[in-house]
Amino acid sequence: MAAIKTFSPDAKTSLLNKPSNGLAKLSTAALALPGMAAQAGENGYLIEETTARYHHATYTEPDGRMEITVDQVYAEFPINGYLDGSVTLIRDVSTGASPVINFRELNGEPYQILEAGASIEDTRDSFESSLNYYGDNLDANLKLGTSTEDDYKSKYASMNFTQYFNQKNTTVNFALGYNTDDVWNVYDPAVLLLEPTEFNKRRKRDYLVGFSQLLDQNSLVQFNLTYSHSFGSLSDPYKKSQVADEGLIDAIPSQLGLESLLNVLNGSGFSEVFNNVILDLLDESFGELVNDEIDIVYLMRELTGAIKDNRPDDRRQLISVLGYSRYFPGTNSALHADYRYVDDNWGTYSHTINTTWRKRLNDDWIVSPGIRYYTQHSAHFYDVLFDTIPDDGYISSDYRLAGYGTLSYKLELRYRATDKVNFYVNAERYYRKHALEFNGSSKGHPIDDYTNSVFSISVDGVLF
Amino acid sequence: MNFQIGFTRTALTKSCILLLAALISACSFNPEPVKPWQRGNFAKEVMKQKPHGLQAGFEEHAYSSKEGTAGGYGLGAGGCGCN
Repeated sequence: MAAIKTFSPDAKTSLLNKPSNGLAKLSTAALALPGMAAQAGENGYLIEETTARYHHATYTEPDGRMEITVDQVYAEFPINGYLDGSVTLIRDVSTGASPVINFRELNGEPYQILEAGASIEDTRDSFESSLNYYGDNLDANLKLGTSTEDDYKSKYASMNFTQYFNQKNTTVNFALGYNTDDVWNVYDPAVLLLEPTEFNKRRKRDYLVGFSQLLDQNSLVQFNLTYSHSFGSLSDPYKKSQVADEGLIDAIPSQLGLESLLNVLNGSGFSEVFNNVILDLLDESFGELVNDEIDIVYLMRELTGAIKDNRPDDRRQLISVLGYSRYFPGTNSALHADYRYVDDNWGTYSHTINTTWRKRLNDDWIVSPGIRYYTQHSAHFYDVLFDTIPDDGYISSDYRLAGYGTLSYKLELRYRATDKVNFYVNAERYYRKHALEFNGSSKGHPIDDYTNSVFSISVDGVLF
Repeated sequence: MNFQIGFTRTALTKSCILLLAALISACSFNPEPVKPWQRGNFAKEVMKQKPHGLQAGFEEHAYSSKEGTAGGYGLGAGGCGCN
């Protein structure tokens, strides 16, 4: 979010209650109020000390689904009187299972198959660096980063310019973002629902314009408009949809224990033997009658109608965010609220309301409860189950493209241990439900409902 | 093609409404610019919308991995093969 130039942290603000001879000096060294975009490396003001941060978080879904641990190390450092920089190292470790496909019961109701036998165990390593320039009326930021996984590699860059107007009561912000990603799927011939590896490219270009305006001595309003264009392979290489007309079996009773059966076949190595040995024997025996398509993936598709996720290769999103912050001097607290509206050419328009109340309890403690509501309409090519493949060929049963809503409750505690060391604890409980979709009943199903918990702890320390 | 046109019209209309709301708020409540020495409250720690950059980045990454739409708060984050 665009930043408004203001002054330094609490300890220095007593200087600001009246004009002083040091005003010009303070103005030069003025700090900027971090806006909604405040991520690592985006303080919005020239730092004077080298600071390090460590952040550890755990993300947990119940019932054997995803569990993720995240460790981040960050350092920011001054360079000269108008430049500073930062570096961030991130490692995510994901384990567990994720929904792959919905199958149809005899009564027509869906049930879900998790990552049958292909339990996810993935590590993501990310490196990010940021260089920030601060002028009298113009700030600029350049960020470069990479993110690497077993099946995904992302390189990204962004540039941000903030111009100040109206005695620095108004800011205008321009930003450009550039992502170039390689995506593929790790293939294991011993797993029935996995497809052979395909290497694909995914690109994203973002263009942001924003402004901020001080309303009075205690409040400000902010607005961001982002146009995001993604193109290339946007499908998920691990997801599938059941299409009744494409399989020999329209419905597969869950009582058969298909998931267990798949796990047994996978675990026993049956499919690997089938792919590597039996197909070779058949090929030797029958020659041209057997080709590469008659593998375990082909048989699963013919038997159950399990079709690969296939999304349009072009996505254009328009994202608007309106934010408001107000300080309440009587209680030394502040309310932060923002509303986001996203629309795109996939049909997945969404609304998000995010509010946080930040209250200083004493010199050392700040408590910040928050609540967030998100509601989304399903993509036009999404369905829980399909009877036929749509005419345009686009098809997905990815739960993230369904119609649903989420509600999350958040709490942050900040403890100042010393003048140079702060601890943060964050907790969040997140409920995802089809029934929480606002004013709508777009395609979706309660089988995709889940709850997750996030807990994190971090420490900031001034090094020198 | 139809859905692309629909996206543009609907989204632009709603975005313009939000922008107008922001502009009207800004014009209505700020007849006089706030002087530099009057901005102390904006520097209070409780006025930081996202006081911890690493936590903010982590939250945005988690939401973008699990929801069909994301972004809008700023640029400069990598993609992922999150499931």
